[in-house]
Amino acid sequence: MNKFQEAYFKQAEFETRRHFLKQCTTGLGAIAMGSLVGCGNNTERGLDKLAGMANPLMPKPPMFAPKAKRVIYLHMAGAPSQLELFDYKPELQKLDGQDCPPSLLEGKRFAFIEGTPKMLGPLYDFKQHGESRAWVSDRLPHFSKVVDDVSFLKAMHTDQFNHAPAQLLFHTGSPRLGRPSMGSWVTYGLGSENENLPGFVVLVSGGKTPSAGKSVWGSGFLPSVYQGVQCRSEGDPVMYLSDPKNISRDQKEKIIKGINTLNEEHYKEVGDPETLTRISQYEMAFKMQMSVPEAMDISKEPAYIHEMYGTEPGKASFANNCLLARRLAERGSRFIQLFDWGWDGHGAGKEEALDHGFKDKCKDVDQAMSALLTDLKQRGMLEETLVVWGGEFGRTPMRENRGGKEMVYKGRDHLLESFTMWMAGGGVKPGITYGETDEIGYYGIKDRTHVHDLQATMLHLLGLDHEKLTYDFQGRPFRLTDVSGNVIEKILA
Amino acid sequence: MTMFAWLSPFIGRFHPLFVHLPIGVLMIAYIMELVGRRSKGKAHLKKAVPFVLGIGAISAVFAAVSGYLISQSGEYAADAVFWHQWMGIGTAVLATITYLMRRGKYFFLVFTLTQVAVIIAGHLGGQLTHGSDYLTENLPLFLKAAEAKKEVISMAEAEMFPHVILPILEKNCKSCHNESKMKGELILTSYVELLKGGENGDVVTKGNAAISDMIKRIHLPEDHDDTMPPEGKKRLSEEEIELLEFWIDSGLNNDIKVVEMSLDDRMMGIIEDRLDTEEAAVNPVFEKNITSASYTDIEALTAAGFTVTPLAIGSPYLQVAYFNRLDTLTKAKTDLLVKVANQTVWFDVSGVKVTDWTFLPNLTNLVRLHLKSTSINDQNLNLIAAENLEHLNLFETNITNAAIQKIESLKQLQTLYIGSTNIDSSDISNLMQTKPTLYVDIGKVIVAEDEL
Repeated sequence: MNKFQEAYFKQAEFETRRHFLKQCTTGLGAIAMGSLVGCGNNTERGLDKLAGMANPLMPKPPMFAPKAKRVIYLHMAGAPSQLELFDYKPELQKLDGQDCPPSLLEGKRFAFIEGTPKMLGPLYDFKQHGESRAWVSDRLPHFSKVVDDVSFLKAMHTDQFNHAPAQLLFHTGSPRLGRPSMGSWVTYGLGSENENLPGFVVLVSGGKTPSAGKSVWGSGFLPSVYQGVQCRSEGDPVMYLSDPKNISRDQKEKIIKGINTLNEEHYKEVGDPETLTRISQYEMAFKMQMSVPEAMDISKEPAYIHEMYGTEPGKASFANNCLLARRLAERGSRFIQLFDWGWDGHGAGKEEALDHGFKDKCKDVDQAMSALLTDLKQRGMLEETLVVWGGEFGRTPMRENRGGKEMVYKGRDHLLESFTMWMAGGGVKPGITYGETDEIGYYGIKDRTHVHDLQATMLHLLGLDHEKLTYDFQGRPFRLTDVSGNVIEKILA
Repeated sequence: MTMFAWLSPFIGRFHPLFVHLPIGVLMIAYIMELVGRRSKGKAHLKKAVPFVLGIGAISAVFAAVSGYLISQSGEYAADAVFWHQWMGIGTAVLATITYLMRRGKYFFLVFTLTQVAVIIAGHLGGQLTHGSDYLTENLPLFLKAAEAKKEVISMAEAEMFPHVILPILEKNCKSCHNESKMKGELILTSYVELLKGGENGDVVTKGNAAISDMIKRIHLPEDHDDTMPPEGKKRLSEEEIELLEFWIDSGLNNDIKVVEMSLDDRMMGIIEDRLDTEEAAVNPVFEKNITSASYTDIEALTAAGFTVTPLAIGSPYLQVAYFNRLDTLTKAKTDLLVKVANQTVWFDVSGVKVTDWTFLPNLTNLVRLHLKSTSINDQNLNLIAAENLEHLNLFETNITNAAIQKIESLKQLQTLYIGSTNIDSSDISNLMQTKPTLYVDIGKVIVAEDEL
């Protein structure tokens, strides 16, 4: 008997029934006790439940009756200036061009501001709109008409002042890589309503993916079946989804059935949930070949819809993505994540300057996002669809002076302590403003809302308790909101 | 003697620490005795029992003495402590007797009595510190006797102290300032007791919240020695503080009604939110006694392409939808709905080709019905038999004015979507009059660019 055989037999001895009954009885009681009191997995949605399911994306009941069935999240990557859009500060206008008092700079760190910057008043005119008398700047003429459907969060704040970690914090609850994104948590908790479409869809516009890369829609340590699927409004809707040349759909079906039979065998043997993921992804990809082109084809929408959104079929644009978001929502997608790149208004270049490129960005989104709200509303979908809009942080009331010098274009630096987001539909009280910032929009002074509070509220509206939606990883349960987060009760309808 | 006056309260405070020793030690002694008696192989345990018992007895005496000293501090009502005190002393005495007996005829009997005493004393002690409902608070609902429904009160009847102020005190202060555990000799469970104040005098000063001791302490920083609630306990919310201050400033009225006070809209709003005013009327469907659908029926529906999900974990009510727009929803498939007709409350076939609508009369418990972008017409709409329907979505369908009569007959209807249909907006004015609370969405009115 050689060494390998010997080692093999030694190991085999530990797997015999005799060994088990003789040596392991002491532990049995403890194991039984453990499973009785639910030590290993005290959540309803533990891995064992998941493994027992044929399809991990099967729709699951929420923990309590939900207000929202799905989410459309419009993320303006780069962080738009709240002072040019929603947070009206006439006092700041009076300080325009003056040196920033040292008291505002003491102990503060900025990404680019050096020395003593000048204050920068709001660049655009503001007016109150709707019955709710919400302040909106003249950059968003369409949006001004729908403010009564919207709930503003004026005193948002975050911990991260660089784009990538700030975006990660918003989407995964942690500024570092490796955690599942919100869409993954939601599809893990609730599954997807349509087995032929991805439950968590990502649509990107503005020419670039967000700074944090694809991790903002990754599944982290959750089974990868829950990661976001990026769809495109130009070219193939989902990359590598269409069949290679000379392969018929029948042949494809046979191939997939064959692979899945092998994978099922493998899963029975090893029990790795990633195998289940792979099985359902093959199946879904096959079904998606038919259903995705149907869902993503906006050319058959009536003319008035195109006029309303400002869409042009076949083009990659935020407007097209908004219309796609509505179409996917209608077809049961659970979490639809839009990213629009190009909001980083430092003023270091004309494209991104608040007095130049910013105007175009506003035009890009204004009509489409307002149309999305109006369209969802007329279709009776806004009641059960939560729409969230925002960047990853705010922008300073000071004018950016990169390198300590006055720059040609006007811009603002990153700001952690105050920025504006809005939510609409899905059980949010319409037409209200929650939170208040100081006279120059530098710091939230009332009803401050942290990123984790927003996440807790979003999960709550979907019928999930953010403290109970957990997943065991590396020996402890993890959750989206880490160890903090409070549901913002006052904005719930 | 006065030199040692500090000694008794000092030692008294050790009681919560000491008590755990006799509980644990006496129990392990008893377990050793039991195991030693039963099994021969474990007879050595029996030999060690007197030693452990001795330690248990000494610690029990310590616990009893320190307990007696803390009870003298005046923070606990004598009658609340009575049984705990005598059970505790009993434990100490019994444990000592058991130890002195070592073995003998009645040894095991007295030992057992000691155990009973320690359990009762321990339980009563726990109730003193944590409150009498601590242990059963998280008991599953079905094990608890039906809980008394909370008193619902309307804004017009609400009185300032009993309905607004007292709940704040009960939530934040009562656990330490009650009849049995009067920390600082202060009781905050009724108006009379509140005005009596505590060992440092009045806690509230009529008409002046700023100098009231209670308010001053609430405003102290969290790590301050005199802050209330003490460090580690949940702080009062800004609203709660504001309400307390307002009430003290306005003259500490006991039975003044909320509406009689000069409150601005914001404060009224805050109070209204806090009161258990009449809740939104529950749809009668959710008060019916409905049993869960069978799993096999749900599986059959799922296999046919339906998405079936309970409204929440443990709820018998189902949301049923059909999302596959590439497939036709045939009669064979809709026939399956009969099996879950009772449980289905949300139903959505938006954008789907439905060939046969005769399933509609079966779904009598519907609350939300989405028929957006389907072939539904006036005639088929009349098949709806859900008398408690709240939401009806008919966007982008061929229904006409003839459907209005049916819509009017839906008593519970709250929202109606009729954009992109053949209903004239002029014809719904009648509907709006007969149902003033109904929200009717007639769809998007396009605003031309130049109007903006």
